[in-house]
Parts: sequence; C-alpha cells; structure tokens
Amino acid sequence: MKINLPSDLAKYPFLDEAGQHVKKYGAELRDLENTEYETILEKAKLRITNSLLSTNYKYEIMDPNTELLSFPISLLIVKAIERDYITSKFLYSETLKVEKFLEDEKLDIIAQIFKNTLHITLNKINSQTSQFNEFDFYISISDYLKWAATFHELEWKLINRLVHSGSVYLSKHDLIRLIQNAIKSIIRKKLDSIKMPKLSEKLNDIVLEINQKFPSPISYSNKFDIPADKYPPCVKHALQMIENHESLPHFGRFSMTTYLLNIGKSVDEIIQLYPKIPDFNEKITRYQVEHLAGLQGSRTKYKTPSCKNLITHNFCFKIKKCNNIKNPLQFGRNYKKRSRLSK
Amino acid sequence: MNSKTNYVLKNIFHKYYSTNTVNIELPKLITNREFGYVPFDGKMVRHLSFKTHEELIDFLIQKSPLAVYMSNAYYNFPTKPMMNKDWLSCDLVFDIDADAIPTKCKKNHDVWRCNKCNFMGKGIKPVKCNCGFNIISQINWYCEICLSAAKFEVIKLIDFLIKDFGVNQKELKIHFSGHRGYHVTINNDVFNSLSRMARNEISDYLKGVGFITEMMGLTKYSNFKTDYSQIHDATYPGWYGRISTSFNNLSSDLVGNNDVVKDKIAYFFSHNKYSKFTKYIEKVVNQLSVNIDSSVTTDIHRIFRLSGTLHGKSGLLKSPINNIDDFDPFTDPVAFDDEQIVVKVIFPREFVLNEQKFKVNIGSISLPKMAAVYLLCGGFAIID
Repeated sequence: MKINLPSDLAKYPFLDEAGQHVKKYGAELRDLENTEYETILEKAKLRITNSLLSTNYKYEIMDPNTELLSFPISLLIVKAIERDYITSKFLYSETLKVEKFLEDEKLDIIAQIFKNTLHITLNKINSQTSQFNEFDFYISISDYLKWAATFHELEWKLINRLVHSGSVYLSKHDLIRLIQNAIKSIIRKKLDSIKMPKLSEKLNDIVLEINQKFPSPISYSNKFDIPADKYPPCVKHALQMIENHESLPHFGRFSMTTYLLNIGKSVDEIIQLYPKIPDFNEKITRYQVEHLAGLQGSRTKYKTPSCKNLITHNFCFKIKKCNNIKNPLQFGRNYKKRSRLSK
Repeated sequence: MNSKTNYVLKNIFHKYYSTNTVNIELPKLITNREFGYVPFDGKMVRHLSFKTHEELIDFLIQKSPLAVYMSNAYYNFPTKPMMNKDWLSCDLVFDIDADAIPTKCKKNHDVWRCNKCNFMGKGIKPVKCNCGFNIISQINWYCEICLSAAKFEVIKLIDFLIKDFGVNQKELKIHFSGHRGYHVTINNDVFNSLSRMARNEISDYLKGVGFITEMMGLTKYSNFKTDYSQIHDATYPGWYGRISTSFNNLSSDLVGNNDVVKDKIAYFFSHNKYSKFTKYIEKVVNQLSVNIDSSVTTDIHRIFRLSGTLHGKSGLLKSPINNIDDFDPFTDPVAFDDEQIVVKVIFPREFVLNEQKFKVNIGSISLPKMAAVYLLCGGFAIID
C-alpha cells in the first residue's frame, strides 16, 4: 500500500513521499516573499509558536497542501532560530501530532510508515487464529530494542513485553508510542541536514518575532553547592562504602564520580574522597577521574548513568524521595531550585 | 606468585603452546578483532591485531602469556585507540560466573590473606585484618558445587535464548571459561549490531530486572472473576508462561484443589492480599532469572578470553562445549599430563582432576603436572 494522497501525506510530512510531493511545486525560497505564500508562512510560524504555547491543542488539517509546504519552512525557521529550547519543543510537538494521527490510522498505513521510515517489518496478527490476539503486531526483538531501549518507563522494558521466538508482541497503541522516538530522530536529522541559505526578509522577521516572544526559561546550571546530606541515596551509599573501607564496585565508582563531576566538584575534591578504599592508588584514581571529567583519553565528559542503568547494575538504593527521577542528578530538584532562588 | 613460580609456569605454558595449537580457536574475521594478553611479568597489553591464524599461533608460542584475549567486537582498525577503532559490530555474549552465585560451600573453601601480616582466614575477606590493615587478598576456590550451580544457570540461559529470543541451537557457542564459569556467545547477525542500551535490556530480561507484576494481567484492583481471562496459562510463552507454570509447584493450601493453572492463580490471588501475590511473583522471577554478569553482556568493547588458551588462574583450557549436560569442568578442560612436579602447598586443598582425587596439606609434595599447575595458578602452592 502506497501513501500518496496529499491528505495522508499532510499528516506525516516527515515521510520521503511528502518531501517528493513538496518538490513538485518547485517553490524557491525567494518565492516566499510573494503574497500567495503568506498563508503557508503563517502556518509554518504557527507550527512553531503552538509548540511553545501548549502541546495540548487539537490539531486539524484544513488544507493538505498548505500543511505540507509549511513543514519544510518551519524546519528552516527552527534551524535559523538555533535554540535548543525551541528545537526540542518543536520536535516534541511535531511528534505528538503524528502520534495522534496514527491512533486513528488504518493498520496498513501504520505498517507502511514503519517500513518506509524505520525499515521495520510489522507482522500483523490474525485475531481469528492467533493465541496472542490481544496484540495487533509482532516485530523482531532487535527492531523493538532499537527504539524501546531509550524509554525510561518500566513498561517498555523487554521483560514487561510478550517475547516469543525472537519477536515482541505489541498493540497498535504501543507501536505508535514506540515510533515516537524514531519520528523525532527523523525530523531532527532533517533539521541537521539543512544548509542554511540566506533568509528572505519575511522569514527573518518571523525568526526575530519568535526569538523576542519566547525567551528561554531560566536554566538551572548543573553547578550547585549541594551538601553531602542532600546527595541521592546511590551516591550516599557509595560514599558510605568508602567510609567503611569497603571495595566499591566499578559501577559504584563510576556513578558516584560522574555525579560529583556533574554537580561541579573538582577532580581534586573527588580524589580526596577515595584514599579510604582498600585498593587506593592515587595515580590510577587521578587518571580515572580525569578520564571521566573529559581531561584524558577521548576527552568526552561522561554523563551520570541513569537510574535505569543503576538498577541493572544493582546500584540503585531508591528511597521515597527519589520519586520518579530518571537520573541521580535530578534528585532533590526542589532543593536545587530553592538554593538557586535564594542566591 | 613468586618469581620462581612465575618462571616455572611460564615454561610450562610455553611448552604447552609449542606442542598443542590444535585447540586454539581460529576466529572468524580475525583482521577485525582486537587482541590482548597478560604476560607473566607485566600488565595487560591491548590493541593488538593479527592478519592470519598462523600469526596468532606464532605469537602464542613466542609470548606464552598468562592469559590471551580477543574482542567480541569487530573493528575496521583494531589496533588504534578505542575512539578511533571504528566499531562495526559485536557478538552478543553472556558470562556466568560461579563467584556471583551464592553457594554455601564458599565459606568452607574460599580463603583470604592479609597483605601486611600474612594472616590467613577462611571465607569472605573481612573489611580489616586483626592487625588493623585493610588491604586483604581474597583467594577463591571453585568446587564441583560452585561449577554445577554455574552450569545450571547456563541451562536456564539456553532455554531463554532458544524459546524467547528465537536463537537456533547451532548459533549458540558455549565455552567453559577455564576457571570459574561459562561463556555463551550468539553467532547471529541480528544481535551483533545491538547498541549497549539494547544489550542492557536483554541482560535485564534474563536477570528479571524491572518486572512489573501488573503486566501479569492482575492489578491491585482486579476482580479475579471478571479478569479471569487476563490470566495467562502455563502454555503462554515468555516470562508470563514461566511464572504461571510456577503455580503448579505450590501446595493446595495456597492454590486450592485446582488442576488448571489459571484456576490456581485465581485462587492464590483471591485468597491472599495483593502484596503477598506480588511478593510471590518477585520471588519466582528471582528464582527463574539467569545469573549473568550484566557488565559483560553490555560491554561492546570488551576483550574475552580466547577459546583453546590456558587460564592463568587454573591452568585449565577455555574449552568449547558440545553438550552442556555431559561436560565435566574438572576433566574435559585439563591440558596437562601426569609428569611429576614438586610444589610447596600453602593452603591445604582437596580436589578432583581428570578423575584423580588429590588431597594436599601444607608442605612440599610431588604432584602430576595438571594438579601442580592447578594449585600454582590458583595461588594455593608455590615453587620454593
């Protein structure tokens, strides 16, 4: 089944077929100055401003062609604005839109989108004959993991899925949520691949207007003077093990060190914590801490591992206060905000 | 290990590699693999590569190292630093280690020694020695019970890999590590390109990490009469089927006088608090899960002991296994013969190798090479 009707393509403007449809118009950038393109420009602006105002709005497609043409222009504007805050809001809103359209979509079109964009073959389940008729599709484990492994909610863990003979069984609803990340990454790739042309006056005005109207919210710097009693339980546990002269497992060292580096502790401050471990060697410890700080080797500053990763490595000591944080750095967010505001 | 012991062992390893190369695995895509080794007198050397199998074998004979490793990953430039190697793919591997399985025998055979006063004790090392020093060496021993427990985990792993992951028996390579456990490698391109995060999920699946009881179809607010259809029966695949099957093992006071698994689950669910139900599920997941080392499965740059080479902590071979049920880790991987060697035993030991029983006490003793090397490598004897 091919997706070629403008009404279908307008819902999924990230598809290659949609891009080809737009190309047929042969519109050039300079044409955007013409009044006949005003509606399209307005629509492109709306795509962005709506994403910044609320994600909970009902999106209706009035004219498929306006919709289709406005998408690449909105990408151009977002790229020109060049602000992470706006890019991520825009990506989120565009993805959510697609998700809502897919919920009402025919199974065949969903399967086609998976095939065309992600190269994933969806196998439809025969509800009449299959033992697993509570599901709509099954896909290979590797295809499932490629996208689901980045989700934080426990329900997406492979262990909470029906896994049988190399396949994962999914409902239509779950499948659509699964595609969310993939669509986001396709739109992001489209954004990244844009080579910025010289913008027309009208486009420049839109960029300026959005920049003025939507300043980025105050960002809370990672560097806080967090007292040790406010550290997350996994970091406290690691410190306690050091205090008890116990041999801290590799993952405990890694998570504790990256946490402390990310809250702004210096390499020397961190090394000073280590001498109590039984196998302490200052030279090796310095090299390792500097490596994690991005001062040695690959020069990559390591991120603090996620809570999910800590669970896998048996180094999560969750307490009630952790709430639903995804990373130890988020522990005590309110404390960080308060301390920032009181300064 | 003292220098005399080092010297003797190195010569034994050299003699072995000079005459026994038939066991050494000839890896596929050898030019894309990173190799590493630990010499008898130095630290790990990594980022090596060989163009041919002959080159690899010549290297083994010449260096005769304590341990030899090969990457599970394939690279375009295996000799370059990690960030420039250009990672292509990586075999999906599992490591089952007797160390991680809590067997009761450990407290009887594991020993520790204070690095300052040389005081020795049985079991797991304490945080501090009586002398106050906190650097203590742990010397572990692996008996038949330890390795049987590890083998049991391998059997569970294979069941998961075949039934749930759709892996063909022929795609599974099982090895005894040569010391304290087993390695399982999947030779299937579908899994080779998986990211670290995806491998993490596979590891969690096998280890039972993150299971949500509600996914069984019954929640705190379920009514077992109306939600009966949500309960999975024992024929259901995956974790759900495994958990459901476990209700067959419960006594009638817990599951009633029911024959059908779904009825047993419904009885247990309706006659107990939800917290008891979830606790039971947690316990079962824990029992049925596989005790793999997640850090090995998720590491896509790790170098792994090369099959057919000697393990420096036992003198046994890392050996391929055709039939896990029949494999005997104290016979099949034995590399050395009965030529006598005099060693000084520093920890009394009792063990079986190649169907021969050995019971050694502290002091000098002449032993067949296989037993002498086993004790020397493990740190239980030295050459005086």
